[in-house]
Amino acid sequence: MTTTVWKSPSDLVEPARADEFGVEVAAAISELRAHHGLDAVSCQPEGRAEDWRLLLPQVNRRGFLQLTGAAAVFGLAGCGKHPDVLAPLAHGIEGRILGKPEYFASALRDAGQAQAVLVKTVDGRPIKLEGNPDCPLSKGTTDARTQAALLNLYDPDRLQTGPLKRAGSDWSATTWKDLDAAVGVALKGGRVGLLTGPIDGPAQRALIDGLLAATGGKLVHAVYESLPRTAELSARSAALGEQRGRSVPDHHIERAAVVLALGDLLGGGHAGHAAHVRWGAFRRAGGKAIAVEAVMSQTGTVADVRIRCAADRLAWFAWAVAEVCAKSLNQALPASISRELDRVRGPGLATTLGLGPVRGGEGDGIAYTAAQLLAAHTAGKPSLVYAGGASASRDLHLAATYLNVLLGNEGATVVAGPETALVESPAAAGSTSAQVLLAEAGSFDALIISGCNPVHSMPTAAAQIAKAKLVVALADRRDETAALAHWIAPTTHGLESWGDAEPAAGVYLLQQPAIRPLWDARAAEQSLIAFAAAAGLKSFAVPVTAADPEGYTVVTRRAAWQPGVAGVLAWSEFIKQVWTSTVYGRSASLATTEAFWTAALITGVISVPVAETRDLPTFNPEAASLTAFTNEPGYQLVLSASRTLRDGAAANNPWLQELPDPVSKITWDNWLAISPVDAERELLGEGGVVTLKVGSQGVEVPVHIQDGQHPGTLELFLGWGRTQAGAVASLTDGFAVDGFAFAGHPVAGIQSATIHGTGTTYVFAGTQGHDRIAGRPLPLDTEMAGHLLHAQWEAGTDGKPGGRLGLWRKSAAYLGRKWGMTVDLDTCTGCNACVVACSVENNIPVVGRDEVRNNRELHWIRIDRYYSSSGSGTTAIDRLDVDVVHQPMMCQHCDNAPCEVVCPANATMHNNEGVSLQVYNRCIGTRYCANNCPYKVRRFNWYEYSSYRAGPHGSGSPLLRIQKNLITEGTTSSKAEMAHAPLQLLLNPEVTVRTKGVMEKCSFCVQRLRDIRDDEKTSGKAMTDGKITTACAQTCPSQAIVFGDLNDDTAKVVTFGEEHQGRAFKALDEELNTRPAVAYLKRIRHRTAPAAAQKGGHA
Amino acid sequence: MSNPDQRVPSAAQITTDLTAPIFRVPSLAWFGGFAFSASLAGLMFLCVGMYIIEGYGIFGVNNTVNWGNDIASYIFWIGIAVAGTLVSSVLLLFRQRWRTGVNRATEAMTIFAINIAGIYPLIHTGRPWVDYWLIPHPNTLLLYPQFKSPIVWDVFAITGYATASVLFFHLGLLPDLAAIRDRCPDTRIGRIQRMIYGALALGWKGTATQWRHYERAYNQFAWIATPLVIGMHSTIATLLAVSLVPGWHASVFPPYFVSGAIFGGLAMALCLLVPLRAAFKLQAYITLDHLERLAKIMLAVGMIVLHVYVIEFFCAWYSESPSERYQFWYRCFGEHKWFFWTMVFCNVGMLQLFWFKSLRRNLTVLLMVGLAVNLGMWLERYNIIVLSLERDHLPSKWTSYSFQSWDYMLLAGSFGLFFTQFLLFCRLIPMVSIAEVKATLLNRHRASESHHG
Repeated sequence: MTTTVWKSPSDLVEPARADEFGVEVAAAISELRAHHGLDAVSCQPEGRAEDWRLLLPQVNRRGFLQLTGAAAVFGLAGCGKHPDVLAPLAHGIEGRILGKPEYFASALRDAGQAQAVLVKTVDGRPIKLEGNPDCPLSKGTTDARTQAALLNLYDPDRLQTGPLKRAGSDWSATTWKDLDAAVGVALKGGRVGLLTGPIDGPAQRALIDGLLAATGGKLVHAVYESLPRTAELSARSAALGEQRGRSVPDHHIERAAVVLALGDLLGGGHAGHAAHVRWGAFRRAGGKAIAVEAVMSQTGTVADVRIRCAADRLAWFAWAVAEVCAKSLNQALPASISRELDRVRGPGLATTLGLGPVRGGEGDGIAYTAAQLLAAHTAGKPSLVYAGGASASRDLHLAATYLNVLLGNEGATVVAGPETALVESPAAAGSTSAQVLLAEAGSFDALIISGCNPVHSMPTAAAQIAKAKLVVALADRRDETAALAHWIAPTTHGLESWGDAEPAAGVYLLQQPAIRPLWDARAAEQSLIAFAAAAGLKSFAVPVTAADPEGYTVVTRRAAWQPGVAGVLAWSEFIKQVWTSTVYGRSASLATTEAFWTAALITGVISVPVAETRDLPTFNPEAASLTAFTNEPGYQLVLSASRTLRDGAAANNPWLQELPDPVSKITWDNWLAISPVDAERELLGEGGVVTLKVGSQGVEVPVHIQDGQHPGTLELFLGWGRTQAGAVASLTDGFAVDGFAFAGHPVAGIQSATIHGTGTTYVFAGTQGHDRIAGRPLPLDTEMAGHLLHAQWEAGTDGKPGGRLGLWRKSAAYLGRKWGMTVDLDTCTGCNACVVACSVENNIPVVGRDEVRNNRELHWIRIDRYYSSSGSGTTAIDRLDVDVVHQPMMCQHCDNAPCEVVCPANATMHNNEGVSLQVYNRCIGTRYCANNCPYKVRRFNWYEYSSYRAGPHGSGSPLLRIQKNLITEGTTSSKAEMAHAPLQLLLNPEVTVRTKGVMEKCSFCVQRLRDIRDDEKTSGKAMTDGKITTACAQTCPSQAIVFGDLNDDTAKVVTFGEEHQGRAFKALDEELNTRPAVAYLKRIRHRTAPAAAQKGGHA
Repeated sequence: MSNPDQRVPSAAQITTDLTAPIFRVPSLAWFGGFAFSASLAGLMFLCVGMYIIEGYGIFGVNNTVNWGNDIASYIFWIGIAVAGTLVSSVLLLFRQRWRTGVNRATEAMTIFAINIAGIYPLIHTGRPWVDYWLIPHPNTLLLYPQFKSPIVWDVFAITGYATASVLFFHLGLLPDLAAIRDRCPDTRIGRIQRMIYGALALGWKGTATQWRHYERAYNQFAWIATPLVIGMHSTIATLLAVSLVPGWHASVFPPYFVSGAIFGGLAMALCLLVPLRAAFKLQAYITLDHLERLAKIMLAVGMIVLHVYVIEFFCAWYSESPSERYQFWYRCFGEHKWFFWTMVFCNVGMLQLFWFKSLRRNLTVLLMVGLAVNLGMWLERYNIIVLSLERDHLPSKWTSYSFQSWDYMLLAGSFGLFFTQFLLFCRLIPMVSIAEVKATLLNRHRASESHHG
């Protein structure tokens, strides 16, 4: 994929031109431009370089007239005040074909962590984000939140009218000039607090450092992180020393042979996208995972062995494992720990701690875990002990650190060093902590809050911020924090502005805009520079010259692009300066800084090798501590970041709101997860509303009975309950429960809580009908030893020797291509990235809470999650210890498609490449196809979903519904909501927007298949395997989905399946003879099971 | 009227009796009933209008249960339509003279039921304005229905059956229409009536030649209609049977549906005839003997239906398919088990009353059983359509279907439309075939007299 880059004027002027035309011609061009007062680039789209070359040598009458005409045009163009030189398409305009997508390499922070992306733009508008294959972290994949980031760009609830000023409760529009001046005065005269989100880009750091240096101590900076890792950093610095404790460790899962997860490695808060990428590699290498937890986390669902343990005893468990390991390795356990363990040892630690059984394994949880870790250690392979999550205690982190040191993982799988990106720690010496800064808010002359929303995630922040004399919020909407500000400087979305990031040590991402700002906004960093320039700080100003009276260096044609006072340094220039000096200095692989900068723009990623600290640190035994646990009855409340919304920053994104949680499959609402045993005791059913009380604070929340949850544990999620994120987040017909209300900041470990049933029941909008496989022939998983049943990927397909008897040996012959897919259930983490990617690619509308509740969600791909356990699975006890499997389910493109034969209108049929197609304009909507589809992957447009932003209101009285859907304007339920705002811009022009009354389903991204065919026709070259892929396969972080041509024996989809054919199966094929084009690879559970139990599958 | 069977009216009296309602100003009760039914029918049109504007989402169906009230009710009504033709053609072929008392009303019932049954599939599509794509027609889009699809078979079955039913009904009506034409008073309204009935009577004069042609044509139609009614409903059954849905995928469906349809249709006939003969004082023409015979047929076909119920469970068990087995377990013990058990109570339990002659001749019992079986048969269709879809192959998409207010309105509306048509029928057409009754009663009378003499 070739990428397009933005060029700044200095790049465009000369070297390339000189090469191209010769020095004289270039000089002539320059002279001509100078004569007409033209800047470097504004001639670019109109006059191509070749034209000039033709014109200059032979100025005849015709040429003279052309030149005059051109001069007039350029002269007029030059009249406006738009020293406009940020020109897209500086190169490549010759080959540009309308409607053909262009890709910009960029980076986005919408997921919480920065991710390298390629932005697909069609005719100037971004319509899809892809992972950047050059990024060593993502390897060309993305996660669900980054996929959904496109909607954040087009979110109509962003501030659209430029800067705002508040007087009392009235907001009025103001100008950038006034805003800059007001902040400049404060910055010049007094003490200013600056609270920002994580600062991890080299230019970002340089900017903050520069601001701190230039203001000479009058500016105080702090980083605000909604989900800080305070406990982890504090534990590590106490145990390993100050230096290691300063940086957040990077967990290299893929290097480990055994992973012991004492917190959610994959879901929610700190789990970066890279964890999922690494998880895929880890599983493919045969890595074993053990999850020990009180709640059912995403990691728990994909672990080989999951052991229940009360939340406050996790640290005890870890130390108990450490004790066994230390003994085996002849190491000493810290004395205080030995003492504590001895105190409670009783009949055995596993019993005392109340651990759940080891399903399918031998011995108790402690012995089993220790044996696995030691086995890896004996084999000379590193393991990984991970502790994390919002509620993880310092004790737990200490124990995990001890184990990692003991087993030699520190430096091997747990990498932390001076070169790791400093996300959390102060960016410079002048920084302080967010709590301190906010506590002192009243003492500042001005408080600038940029890119963070402390009022939502820190309950005490509102009162503190209110004390500040002047609050300036740099935000893209009037959110909870910005609502308290006196001034709001609207910020651009990441797709509209420059930026940079360093998500892991040595991985530098460059963010370049893919579209002009939609509204009157500017990058937060640009605002900071403008404030500094207004305060008279010389290093942030540029000289105003006669030739450049406005003093801009970077602007576009549109005045809104870079408003501000004259003489302000451009943020993009600042980035370029930092990159061509600092980053260039580190990479040094290219000859010139210009070449380096061009390379950075084209690839978007500069990855430099980092020297990892390999020396094993020593664990300071003095640091070890272990807090006593109680045996009192009562509930322990665990707070976890939402697995779909994270901290709720993008809560106004309906794609994320409608995304089923990977574990509970609930959409649109927060819930309180409760153990089946507790639910039975409290007489609570699914959705029973309870009053949850922590101390004096109480809230009403519906419960979800969570299989696998430890009795006595409650889990509530953070990131919900946004009140001022926008219209979608504020849809009021659900439960707006804010987990942060209980959290404190940082989240204060495990809290004791009580619940009381209110007697009412709430119906969740969930997407999973039934949680168990119910004896269906779906061989989803297998014990390691039992999986060697013979099966053939293509011929037999049903897991039996010699295939199967049938009337049709091969139902159809596909002479050219036959598209197919392999889905590896062993690496699928249920992360939902494929679901959002599919929605974006295929213009799938959001149907809203009511419609999901009516079982009418429109996702073309869904991830089925099944529990299995011994026993019937219906009693509470049976539901405590379960195995889980995720199964992505999309159209299976059956060769014997049951849907196709029953369509009376021929609206669904196979094409000659084996794809089952849906012809929308031929569909009359009898829906028989959907009834007859055994996989239930067909989706019907019950309403004109494409005209709603967050679905129609499907429930309520008939008249009310008519009123809401037809008449009301301006709410998210009114029709034509999509037309109000720029939302329609995000539609993929290559995919039909469906109307009401037609059926739709996965098409294997047929528009991409067509594209490739067109390319092949024009180029005459056959495409190679992997060049074409579906949106789901492309974005899958763990690469569990592989797409390709089944007739190509070398294609990965075939070889991948063949390598693992012992565990391949096709869903329901044996029973129904549907002949799907999608093959699944069974999940393998690496367990050292007693011999008798090896045959088990998914019960 | 202690024993109405004893009273044999004269031929003129028969015509007068049976055409009387046509020339009488309707009673207040009729007006009340008509207004009520017509308002209900209006609801149906409201539903249709609303769904065309808003989308099919106003009903309770979802992405797992894509058919609900619409198709269940469709099969319910088509089943009712089956019984009328059965009475008119099959009994005619078997020379069951007693059919004359009931055939007109049941045939009319057929016509009314089939047009409602025709409406349901037309309005269950997502885009009803292109329903005509289901019928082969010349067009520039090269659209042609796919004949592999059972929905297309359905279209032909229903249109074919509806056409045959209407023609058969009209043919049987010819002598009666002529009789009405001849009785129209010479008033202004009477002249208009005469014109209309005259046109509909197609020039019937009652000559011997006409009678000969008529009898022959009527018999031939019966020969055509008998296989048609069985074939038509078997086709409807294959609509479900060819699918992969557990609970639909059963080869027993064609005979099951035909017997179920006769069963339900006769129950509807009982529900209509019992009040009808009281309201219009037709005891002389629709006698207890007639009703008892209907009850006997119901008992026979009802036992066939019971047999199939048992067979279905056996086949599910015998198939060893977990989906099939679970499906039938679910019907008995699942979330909606009461639908199943109510169906069993209505269709099997109540039916057993018909083993007793005294109960078969008890009007209250007949009416109660008729009503119960109607409910039971609707539930049977609901169970087959909805419960099967609720629990199909993949547990992750199991769901539950429930009626929305629009579903109730649509269902009530279809009954409203049915009764509206039936009430109009009562006032416009003789409810009992005048010509056939004359032939039967007078023949019998003459025969008995000659016997005595």
